[in-house]
Amino acid sequence: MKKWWIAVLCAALCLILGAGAVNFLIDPLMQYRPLHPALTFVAFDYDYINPGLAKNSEYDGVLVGTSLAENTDMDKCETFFGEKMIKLIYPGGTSRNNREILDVAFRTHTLKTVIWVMDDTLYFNESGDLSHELPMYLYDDFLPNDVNYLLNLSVLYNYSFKDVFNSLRGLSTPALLRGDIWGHSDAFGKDVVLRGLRDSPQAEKRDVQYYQQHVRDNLEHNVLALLKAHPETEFYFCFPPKSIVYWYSAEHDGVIDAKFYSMEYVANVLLRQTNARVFFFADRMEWTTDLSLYKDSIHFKPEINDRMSQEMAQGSGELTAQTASETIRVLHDALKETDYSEYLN
Amino acid sequence: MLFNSYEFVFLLLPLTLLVWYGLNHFRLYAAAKVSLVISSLIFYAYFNWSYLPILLGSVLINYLFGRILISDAPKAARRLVVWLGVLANLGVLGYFKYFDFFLQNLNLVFRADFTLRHIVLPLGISFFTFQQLSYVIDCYKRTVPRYNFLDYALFVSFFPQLVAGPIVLHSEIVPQFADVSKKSFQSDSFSRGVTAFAFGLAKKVLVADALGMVVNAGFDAVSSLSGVEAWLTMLCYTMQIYFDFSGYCDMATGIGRMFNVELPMNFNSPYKADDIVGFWKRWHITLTRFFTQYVYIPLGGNRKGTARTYLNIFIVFLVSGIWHGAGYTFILWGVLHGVANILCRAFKKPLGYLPKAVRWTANFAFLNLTWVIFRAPTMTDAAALYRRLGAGGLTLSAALRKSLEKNILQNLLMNFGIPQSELVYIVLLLAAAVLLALLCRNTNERIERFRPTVRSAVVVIALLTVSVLSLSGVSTFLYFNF
Repeated sequence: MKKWWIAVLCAALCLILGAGAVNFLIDPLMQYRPLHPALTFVAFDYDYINPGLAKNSEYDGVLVGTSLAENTDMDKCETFFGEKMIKLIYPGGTSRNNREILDVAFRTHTLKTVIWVMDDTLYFNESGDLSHELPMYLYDDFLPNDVNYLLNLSVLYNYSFKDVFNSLRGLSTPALLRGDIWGHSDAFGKDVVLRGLRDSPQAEKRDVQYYQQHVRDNLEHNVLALLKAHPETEFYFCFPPKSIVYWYSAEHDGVIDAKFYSMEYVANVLLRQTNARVFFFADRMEWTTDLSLYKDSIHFKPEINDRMSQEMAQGSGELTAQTASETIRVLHDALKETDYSEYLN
Repeated sequence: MLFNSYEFVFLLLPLTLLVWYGLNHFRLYAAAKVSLVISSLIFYAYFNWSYLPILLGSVLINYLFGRILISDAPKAARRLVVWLGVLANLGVLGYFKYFDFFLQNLNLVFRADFTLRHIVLPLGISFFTFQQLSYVIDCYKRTVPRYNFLDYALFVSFFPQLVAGPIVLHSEIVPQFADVSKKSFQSDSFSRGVTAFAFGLAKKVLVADALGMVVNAGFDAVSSLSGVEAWLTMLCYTMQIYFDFSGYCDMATGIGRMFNVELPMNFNSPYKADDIVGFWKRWHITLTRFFTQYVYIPLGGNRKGTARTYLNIFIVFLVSGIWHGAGYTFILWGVLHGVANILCRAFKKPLGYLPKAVRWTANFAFLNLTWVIFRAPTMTDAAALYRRLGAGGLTLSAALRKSLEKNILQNLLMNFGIPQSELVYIVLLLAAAVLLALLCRNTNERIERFRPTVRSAVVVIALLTVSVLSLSGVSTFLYFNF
């Protein structure tokens, strides 16, 4: 009997530690070092990849945001800004998602630039909300928590084994993390946008106070805290364009005033910070009204991502404390005058 | 601290075992008990240290009640003290568990505006309160020897049973810690303990938590479920709560055995029962025992005629429903089980003529339907799920598919090109769970027949390895909430 339990515990321990050793040596989520060049990295899950990329890549600047920023070509972005940059994206992510990953980036790097592509998720979620639960053991620096990464069957199978297997098959690491993700594979155009409009549910209408409170909380906890903690870093906040169908839905759902209130409030608060610059592309009516640029009411072609990067680097489209409210009000007024039927038929 | 956590498996459990057997080896018996109490308190405080004073206060006060009750004090004084003891325990439990529910009802009935306290329920309070209630009542009956405080504190706080049962009696635990023959390490008991722990861990981590993914996604979007999702949500919860609680009980049994302590059986393949009476003889056995001894029998049990017996049964299940949680869903669940129990007894003879398969199917269907009420956050959600059972559609929502995307088995099915791999995975998981629950020996039987063979070693090594490597998706036990 004594031999039995000794053998069982030793064997189990060896297998568990063996799995841990494999995960440590391959380090498929780049927690300790960049991925070995001989290995093929094909994992594609931002929640798991981003912290390792943030910890063990070489960069001076970061682009964060949601799917609206997903297709940004980082090689072009680097050229425009003249510094080494990576993107750390959470599709459907909240401002808390961005704060979590920027915390990792700031802990491990001195950043010159942060580009933050704004989305409605910045305004309309609770400030503590995440798009979904993150594996926080990958985001912190608390060494004992690494046990969750190392002694993890899912990491072993879904990442370590697959990286090795794909390397053996001769596959190469795709450039997805730096380039276009879905911009050249998905269908764009008026037909798909209008089809999406018919299928989309009506947004839940709430009191204006609800939005005001959320915007204030999100800014305070997830944005301003970072700006104040890192005065040496220049933050570029970018309001991307939205299609005319988006504005029609907002009008139809009765939330358009809340959206404009949020944009104006955010822009004005940010512009009071010494290390923040705000860029406004939502008033480019040639982008707003051309539905051939969209795959649904908000997601645009990669060309727009690249144009926004270029213009931000050049200082074009920038708001100032004097122009912000007026610029946003002009767009609001223009939309009030718009006959949407012209675009929806 | 959870049994299914790295810190428990790699730190607290091995260190506690080492210190316990080390001190006992040098005949430092009292020090060994102190070390076990300290480990148990660390285990408890790890969840939330602010709970600790409540546990310690409860232990101290109940011990003092017990000392007075077994003293030579006059009977009237003793009667007063036992009532005080019962009321104090129920009062604390009532405050932490039901005060907000009480205020909600006051607000509803009288259109009042009492502010809810949002009281955080101390972990395991329902369990250690009942355990100590039984001690206080037994002291009044003078069926308890005089225990010293250390023995009493160990009886209540012994960590394998502290937060989710079994609800042990002092007479089952204290004598075992006093038995000198149980203080030395015994390979036989330890091996059985490791086996039970491995099976329990696997049930929890590999089966219950996997089913829980489907259940959570289902109950999060209950009004928009397709027909097949509604059925899967209901069936998966039936199997999730089984494997969750069964896994916990197995781990508690196993850890007890590692310390040479035999905990009472709490779970005996309840889904093998073919009626609701049989089910309650097999599910949470020590809770049923508590209610029988301290509620049903004092109410008169079956000694006062059939009608009174049925009323007593109904009261027991009503109390059981309330014990499980502060909400009308739990009360309705208790009421339905009480009524089913009464009907089952009243029509025992005609029901006996039905084929066993028919009885089992009807019982399993009843359990499924009532677990929906038990799990649903509100009655409205339960009603919505029942409605969706009649809806058509084979589609799985994006949220459900997303929740399964990291699952290795689902990934394997997908990689093999199986169409609808998520649906196939859930159906296979459910089928495996049902077969395990119905056809396999339960862990108590398994460890009684345990033989140290190569086969048993391979099984235990595999279960331990895969389960420990799957711990990072940690989740708490469902019974922690009660």
